[in-house]
This record gives sequence, C-alpha cells and structure tokens, in this order.
Amino acid sequence: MIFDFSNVGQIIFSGLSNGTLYAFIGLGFGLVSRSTGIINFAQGEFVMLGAMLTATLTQFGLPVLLAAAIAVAITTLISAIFYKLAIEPARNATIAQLVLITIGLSILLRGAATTIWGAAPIPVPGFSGDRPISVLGISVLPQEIWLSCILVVVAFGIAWLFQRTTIGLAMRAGASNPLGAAFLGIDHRRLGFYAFILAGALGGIGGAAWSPLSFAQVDIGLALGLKGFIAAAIGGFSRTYGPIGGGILLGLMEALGAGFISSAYQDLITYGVLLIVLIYWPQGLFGGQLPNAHEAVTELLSSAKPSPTTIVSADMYKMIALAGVLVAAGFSLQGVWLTSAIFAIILAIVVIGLVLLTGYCGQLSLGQGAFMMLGAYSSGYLTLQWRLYPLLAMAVGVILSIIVALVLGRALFKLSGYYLSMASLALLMIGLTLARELVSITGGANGLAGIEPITLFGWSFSDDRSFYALASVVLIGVLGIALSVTRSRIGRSMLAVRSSPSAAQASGVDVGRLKAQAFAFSAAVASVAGSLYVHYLGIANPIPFGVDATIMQLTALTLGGLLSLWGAVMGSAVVTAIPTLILFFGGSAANQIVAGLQYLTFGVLLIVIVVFQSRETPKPVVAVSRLFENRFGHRKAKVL
Amino acid sequence: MQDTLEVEGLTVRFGGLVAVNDVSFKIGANEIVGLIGPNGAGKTTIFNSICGVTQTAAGLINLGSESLVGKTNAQIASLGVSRTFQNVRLFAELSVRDNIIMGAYRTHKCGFVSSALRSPQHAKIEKESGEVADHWIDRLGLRNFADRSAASLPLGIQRVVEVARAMAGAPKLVLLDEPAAGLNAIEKERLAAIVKQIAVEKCAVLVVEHDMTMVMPLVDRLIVINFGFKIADGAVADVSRSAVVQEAYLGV
Amino acid sequence: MSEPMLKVTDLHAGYGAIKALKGVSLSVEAGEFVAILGPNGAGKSTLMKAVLGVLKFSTGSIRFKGEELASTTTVERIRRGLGVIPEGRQLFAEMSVRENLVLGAYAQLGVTIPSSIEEKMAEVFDLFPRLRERRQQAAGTLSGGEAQMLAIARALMASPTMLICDEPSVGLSPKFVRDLLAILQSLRGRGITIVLADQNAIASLRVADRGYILDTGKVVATGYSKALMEDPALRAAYLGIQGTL
Ligand SMILES: Nc1ncnc2c1ncn2[C@@H]1O[C@H](COP(=O)(O)OP(=O)(O)OP(=O)(O)O)[C@@H](O)[C@H]1O
Ligand SMILES: Nc1ncnc2c1ncn2[C@@H]1O[C@H](COP(=O)(O)OP(=O)(O)O)[C@@H](O)[C@H]1O
Ligand SMILES: [Mg+2]
Ligand SMILES: [Mg+2]
Repeated sequence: MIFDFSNVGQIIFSGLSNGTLYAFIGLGFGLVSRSTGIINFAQGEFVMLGAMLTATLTQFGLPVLLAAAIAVAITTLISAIFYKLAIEPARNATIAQLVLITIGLSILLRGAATTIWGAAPIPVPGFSGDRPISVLGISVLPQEIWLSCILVVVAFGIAWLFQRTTIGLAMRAGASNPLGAAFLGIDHRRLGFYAFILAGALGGIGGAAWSPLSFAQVDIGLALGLKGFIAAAIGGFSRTYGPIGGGILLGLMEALGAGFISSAYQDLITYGVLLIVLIYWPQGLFGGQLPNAHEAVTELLSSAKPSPTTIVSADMYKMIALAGVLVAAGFSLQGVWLTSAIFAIILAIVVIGLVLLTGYCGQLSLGQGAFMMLGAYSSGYLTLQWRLYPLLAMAVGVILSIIVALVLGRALFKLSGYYLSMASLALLMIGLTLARELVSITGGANGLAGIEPITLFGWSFSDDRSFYALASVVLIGVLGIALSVTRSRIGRSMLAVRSSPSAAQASGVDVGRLKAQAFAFSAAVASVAGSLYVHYLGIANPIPFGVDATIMQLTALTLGGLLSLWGAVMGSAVVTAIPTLILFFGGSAANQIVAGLQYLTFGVLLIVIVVFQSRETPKPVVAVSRLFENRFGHRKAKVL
Repeated sequence: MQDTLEVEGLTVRFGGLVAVNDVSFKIGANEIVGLIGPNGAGKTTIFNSICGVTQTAAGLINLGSESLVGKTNAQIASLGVSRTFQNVRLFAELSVRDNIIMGAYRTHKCGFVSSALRSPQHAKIEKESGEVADHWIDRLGLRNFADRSAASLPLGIQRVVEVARAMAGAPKLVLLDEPAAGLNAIEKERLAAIVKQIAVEKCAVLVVEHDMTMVMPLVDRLIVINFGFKIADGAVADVSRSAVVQEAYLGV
Repeated sequence: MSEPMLKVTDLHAGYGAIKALKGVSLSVEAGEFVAILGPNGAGKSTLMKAVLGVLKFSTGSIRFKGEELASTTTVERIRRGLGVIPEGRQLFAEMSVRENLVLGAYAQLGVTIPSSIEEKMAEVFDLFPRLRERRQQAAGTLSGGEAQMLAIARALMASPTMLICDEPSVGLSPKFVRDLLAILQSLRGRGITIVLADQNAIASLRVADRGYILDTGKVVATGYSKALMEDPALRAAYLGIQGTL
C-alpha cells in the first residue's frame, strides 16, 4: 500500500465518526449507571429503535428531521413506559435483578423489531443532504458534523446536570444508597424515571442522527450496545466526558485495525481491548469510580431461613424424582419433542454451571458460549483430524476450558460485579471471531461436518433415543457434582463470600481463587455441553453458541431461580420448549417472524419473572447496610 | 517468651494524610491489650494493616517469627489472626452454626475437587469444624440461635457470634474492633466476661473500645493513639490518669 | 392543639415469621424529648422503621401531626417534617463529605445549589471540626466515628419538625457522646421534637423529658425520666445500673 496522507486521514476520520456514536451510547450507559446504579443493557436497542423509526418514517415520506424528532419521541416514550411497567414495579429488586430486567428489555425490543421490520437494512437520507464536503482532502459528510455537534450539546447537558444541579447530586445519592436517599426526602424512583427518560432520548437521538451514515437494521443494537459499554468502561463510568474519550479511542482503534491489519479481525481488536482494560484499568483509563453494585448478584434476598450447607434428604428425593422424570420422558417422547428434550438437557448442563457461578458466587457470565465452542471444536477437530476417541477429545476440551477460565478468572476476580459479565461477553465475541476466521481448524462459517457419534464399549450413541440416555446420564452426573459442591465446605464459603467478602477473607477464604474455581467449573460443564452438541448433530459451527445461546441460558437460569439446581433443569426444559412450540403453532410463518417471536417471548419472560420474583421477597434491611461494604469493590474497600 | 505480635514503626498513609504515624507496640501471648483513642485516631487502620487489608507505608509487623507485611488478608488469617468488625459483618444468609464453622475454615485445607467428590478428608474436616462450632456455641450460650440465619438476630447476639466465629479458628491473635458498640450495659458486661475467658486459650487479644467503664477492668494494658501517634502505653491505672490522655481522649 | 405530634397506637410489625412489635402504643407531644429504651432486640429500631415507612406494619396506626401515615412513603413522611439519624448511618459512600451534607438539606433545595447553604454548613462544621478538615474525603473512607458524625451532621442540615435518632452515639468516643447529647438538647431548645433510642440509657434519660421502655416488642414501662431512673426494678432490669446514679 502506498502511504497516502489523505487515506490515513480518511481512516482516522471514519474512526472518529464511529467513535462519536460509541460515545453517545457510552454517555447513555454512564447516565443510567450514575443515577440508578443499573447497567442498562437495552441502551444499544434504543439506538436501534431511533434508527429504525427514523428510517420507516422517512419511507412514509416524512421529512427526515421530522422523522428523527418523532423517532426520538417514541424511543423516549418506550423507555419511560418500560420504567413504569418493569423497573418501578420491581419494588424490592436488587441492582442485579434490575440489570436482568434491562437485559430482558433488550431481548424484547430486538424481538419486536425483528417481527415488525424483518432483517433488511433500510437507507436513511442525511439531515442536510448527503453531499460530502472535502476538508484537507478528507471527505466529510454533513451528517457527521450533525452527529458531533449533537454529541457536544448532549455532553454539556449531562455535565451540567451532574455538576451543577441538585437533581444530579440526588441521582447519584439514590444510586449510592436508596434508603439513605429516602431518609433525606429524595425520591430515587422518580429520579430513576427521569434517568431512563433521558437515556431513551439519548439513545433515540444517537440512532436517528447516525442512521443516515449507515443503514438502519434491527440487529445492530447488540453490537452497538457493547461498543458503547466499552466506551464507558474505557473512559470511566463516573466521568462525564470519559465515555466520549473512550468512544473516540475505540472508534480510532477499530478503524486503524481494520485499515492496516484486517477487517476480519476487527472484533478481535475491539474485544481484546475491552478484556485488557477490564483487567488492568478497571476504573477506566481516565480514572473515576467503578459503576455501582459491585457484587453483581450479591445482595441477597435472604430471609430468616438460612441456606442449607449439607446434603439433606430432600436433595436425595429430588434427585430420584428427576431421574424418574428423565426415564419417563425418554420412553414417551417422540420426534421433535425428543430432540427438544436433548437440547434441554444440553442447556441444563450449561445452566447448572451458571447456578454455581452466578447464583452462588454472584458472577454473571454472558459468555458460556465461548467454552461451549472450545468443547465443540475440540471434539470436532480432534476426532476428524487426529482420529481421537470422542470421549478423549471431549476431555481435551474440558481441560482447555478449565485453563482458560482459571487464567482469565484469576486476572478478573480481583474485581467483582459486572466485570465478568463484560469480560465473558468479550471472550464470546473473540471466540466467535476466531471460529469464523481460523478456517483451517474450525472450517469457518461452514463449520466442520461428519463428526462421528460418541462410542462407548463398542456401542455408538447415534440415534436420538440412545443419545438422550447418554445425555441424561451426563446431566445427572453434573447435577450430582454441582449439588455436592453447593452442599460442601466450598458451597458454604461461596455463600459466605456473597454475604460479606471482607469477612470471608478475614476467615482465610481466598475469594479470587474460589470465584475462579466456580468459573472453571462452569466452563468445564459448558465445554461438555458443547461437545455433546456437536457429537449429536455431527456438525460444528458457531451459530448455536452465539449471543442467542446466552439469552437462552440467562432466561433458563432466571426462570429456575438463581440458586436452584433443580430450577436450572426445569428452566432449561421450558426455555427449550418455547421455540419448539412457536415452530409447532406458527411453523408456516416467515422464518424471521418466528425468530422475532422467540426473542419477544424470552424478553417478556425474563422481565415478568424477575419483576415477580423481586416483589415476592422483601429485601431485609441488612442488605442495605451491606451495600456500604461492597461499594468500592475489593481494592478500595474501607474495612471497619 | 516470644511476643505474639510485634509492631515496629508502623506508618500508613492515605494520600497526604498520615493515618498511622510510626507506631510501635508488642503484645504477649495471653495478654489482653486495649487500644483506645479519639475518633479517627487510626485504631481501625492499625487493625487493617495487621490483617493485610490496608497497605503500610513503612514498618514491621511480626506474628511470632513470621512477618505479615505484604501478605494478603486470607494468608494472614491462615497464619492465625482473627478479627471482628466495627460494623458487624456476619454471613447474613448462613445459620449461626455455619457462620462459626466458617471461622474454623482456616484451620483446614481441602480443595474444590476434594470437596466436590466428597472425599473422606472432606467428611472429616466437616465433622471436626462442626464440633469446634458446637463447642463455641455452647460456651458462649448461642444454642438457642444456632439454626437461625445471622441476619435475623438482634445486634447483641450478632456481636457474640462474631466473637465465636473469630475464636473458632483457634487464633494466636484476636483483634476486636469495638465489640461492644451498640450493646447495653448488661450485654457489655456479659461480653467482657467472654473476652476475659478467651484470653485463657493462649491467645493474645487486642481490643478497641470507647467505653472506659468496660475497658478498664477488662484489659491488662492500654495503648493510646491520637492523630496516628502513640501517646501512651502502660498499665491501665497509669494511662487513664495521665493528663495527656485525659485531655486527648476523655475530653475533660 | 389536642392531638400529639406523633401518636402510635397498637402497632404490630415484624419480619416475616418474626413478630418484632406486638401492640406498641406511644405518643410524643410537640417540642418534647422522648427516649426509647430497652435491650437489644426489643424492637426500638423496628418501631422507628415503621414510623419512617421503611417497614410496613400489619395492624395499628401511626399518626403524625394529626394525619395517618400508614399509606405514605418514606419520602412523603420526610417531606412532612420527619428527620432521621438512621441506624447504620446510610451515608453515600462514594460521595464526598460535603456532598453528603448538601444532600442533607435536599428537601429545602431548588434546582441548583444555593450559596446560602455554605452558612448552614459552617454551623455544622463548627460542631464537628473534623468534618470540615475532611470536606472532600469520600464518606465511605471515614473512620467509624467520623462516619457517625457525618450522619448526625447530615441530619442537622435538614430542618425537621421531629428528629428520630436510632443509636446516634454508636462508635463515638466519650467526648463526642457528651457533645451529641448537648446538641440534641439544644435542638430541642429550638423547638424540634426529638425521639431518641440509645444504649446509654442513663445518659439519654438525663436529657429526655420522658421515656418508654420496650422489651420483646411491648412497652413495659413509661413515665417521666426522673421516675424511670429512680425505679429500682427498672434500673436493675433495663438500665444496667446497680448502685447509685
Ligand atoms: N481510605 C482512606 N482514605 C482517606 N482517609 C482515610 C481512609 N481510611 C481511613 N482514613 C482516615 O484515617 C483516619 C484513621 O481512621 P481509622 O478508621 O483508623 O480511625 P479509628 O481510630 O478507628 O476511629 P473510630 O474510633 O472513629 O473508628 C481517619 O481520619 C480516616 O478518615
Ligand atoms: N432484618 C430482620 N430480619 C428478621 N428479623 C429481624 C430483622 N431485624 C430485626 N429483627 C428482629 O426483630 C426484633 C427487634 O429488632 P430491633 O427492632 O432491631 O431491636 P432494637 O433496635 O431494639 O435492638 C429482634 O428480635 C430481631 O431479631
Ligand atoms: Mg475504627
Ligand atoms: Mg436497634
């Protein structure tokens, strides 16, 4: 390539332009997290809505500025309605539960959008024409100027809100300690409502102003949300201008990476940077405070009834009952329902790992798919290329997963809270990129085909029914081990860490190690599940392990109750049955509507379950005083 | 005989603030020492640096012949230092018995795999620590509360559970940070008796407490801290009569 | 006015299966200083939580300035004139001492922070000079006693008609305990009604007009401070003193 300034300049400029959008979304994350403590996973979907609505309205012939204004209004309204219907009724919800609700919303919005609009991209005209202007040999679109001007105005507005007004101060207070705020007459629910209105507007504006630069499409929300989060994480959540710096840095890195290295590996760069920042600069490159709720799923809704720490007879009865149900189902189910049951078992194996990690250790992982892929590709590659015995290949996957989880876990668990969520998601994205690009090992997008079934003592588990039996045995085994862990010295120390990390440490518990071990366990079982999956289907490709899988796992986990191993199995059964049911009744409908309906159902389920769960158990006052301890994460904690 | 704890030239800084300034003291086995001083003097910070929670800027901290500086909180606990917290920090969702079993955690080693597979070693450890817990439950009169979750107990009982949890690890050194805060006169007396009792276990006790009527009969020796400096160290009667202490602490 | 400022009648409240209050009745007149005493677990904090709306109660009534509070939120009750030094301090840990204090006056503030707040803050700083030194320190890094001072100071920033204090002296060194009681007394001198629950039974009775003694969720004794202090049975059972005063 000939070195050419205008080319480099153009690359840098396109990076800036994308960075502006990331900054927008990052500001939204920062706004909500500073004023409510919630990481709003739906922020990216607000942008998608802003873009899609602007696109549709212009197609109806509205002038683009009017279309944009209406789009922003509708997005704001949706955010406000969401707050009133889902966040506010979750009266006793912990921050972690509220975050789950926003994940539900993001799934719901994506589902609704897919059902309504389909997957086709829609072009949007610029606010003031699409004729590029040439500045120093770099061509600039008027829309890019629009976007950055709006960003500047918005940023000053947010700075004013938090630095000059009582409302901004009160918002931070409400996020810091809702009870303490209430004692001063601060209505943190109302302030949270304002925050969500602002966040909705911010997302809508970002989407509307950005859509002319690209195409409006229903599936952009997730990626944009992640990048906005990265912008906030790099820049520091609590800094007003931090997300702007972070967003622009990220945009530049992406553009330069794509321009000079390879655009195929763009995601690798983005998410690699996220991982590194999370590990080395958890407060963001520019300093500032960590977002709230460090013990993500921690503040427990404990009641007067203590959690059991030894195996009780009820555990045994439940185990026997489950075995009975599995056998009965194995004999009675047919066709798609038997297949569905097999997928349910595979899902349940993953979710059981999450019960330990998320329920017991308070660490939400969104990237179990990465470990499923490790298992899947180990099985696929090793049996195909090295003619390795399937069970041995599976074991290799498990070992690899454990190693990755331990290494990453040890680096990450000096911190707590949402860091694992983000880091694991980054890991998943990196895994998906590698699976796509390392064609010689993974077969790329086409994947590996012709993977042989599992054999044992000469018996081949090739038909559905025998595979079902095998999977059931694995499930019972995994469940047994998980049960044994939770009802042991280890399980007890996990519960202890959840209640009070500092007291657990003072009792000699190596908290980071314990969490890393739970992560490794969850990785190992996810890897087993991934291996089972590919041996069952005979093919391995990235599709079943992406974010959709994460959504199913999360819904199943929530449905079953975070601390319940049996719940994990039941939740998985329900979640797997939903797509089957939708296909069963709506099989003739267009494929994309079916996919949209699935998301929609999961989103609604997630929200309804969490709202319901959070209303049922009142949060004891102790939990609030414990917030004090968790506020600063482990590094800065003041131990009194 | 060797001292249990030896602190030499301990200095802790928070930014520009010197919270603990060149403090030295020793505590012998079986000794109960009171650490007193006005609010913000640096008492909790001294505890936190002994436990490895706060980084020290300078100084030595030795437990017997072992240096504690640079070790992590969990490592120091494993060496035999237990503590209670100024604001009670029990494991809210665990039962009282499980809380105390957690106190004995440091006395055994048993890994994830060994626990998951329910090895005989795990069973033995569980049995032993259960017995230790039961011992302390009976000794401190917690039998009626043993199966209740820690969160649901009144503060007075929670304080006692914290002491039991600290003792279950058979520590060499126990640090009690205002163990009687929030207790009434009757409960304080009961707690003082318990603390007196545990020093018999051949362990050294360092106790922070603001209530002089409780401290004076309890401790063998008093160390007084003010603005991060040690301003007195000696027998209770001498220290409490000294003018500088009277002024700095009691404010009379 | 005939009705007392605060009137609690036959209050039952608890935590799930645990019944912490079993029919408590009490009343506090405007301008009065009332001490609530009793051993740990007696239900003092539960009573205060019910008055403040943190805990829903099953039966009974709580009337403040003649109006029933049962269906109002905590925020609403604060707006009607309740103030609180809460159990466990409830500070905003990652915010500075100054910001905590400004928020103390939240109910009186408009959209932006007025400069007049500095005067009020200076008054409070005079009472707790340590806080002035630590204006910019994050509240979560204060020492236990300093944090308690901040909780008290923050409550003083508001102008409540009635101040509810749940164990305000926890963690304070002896000198500050005396200061605190003097501060509460001077507030009362300015016409603020005070309800105080504290473990220093004798010290609080000395500054209070009247007292209620709670045990296992019931009022077991009530009367003027002097009478309570002089009752030998109460002294042995609840006040923790055997000898003379
Ligand atoms: N992380 C921190 N950053 C800044 N200052 C700190 C930090 N931790 C403690 N300090 C300050 O150091 C001083 C000593 O605090 P410490 O908690 O040791 O006091 P203390 O003697 O235990 O007081 P108290 O009796 O009130 O509990 C206090 O003034 C406190 O504000
Ligand atoms: N969060 C809670 N969950 C369950 N029980 C509680 C809780 N808080 C207090 N209790 C119980 O309620 C009773 C009264 O407690 P409390 O009002 O805190 O007493 P006091 O303030 O007088 O010490 C006690 O028996 C205590 O165990
Ligand atoms: Mg202290
Ligand atoms: Mg109380």
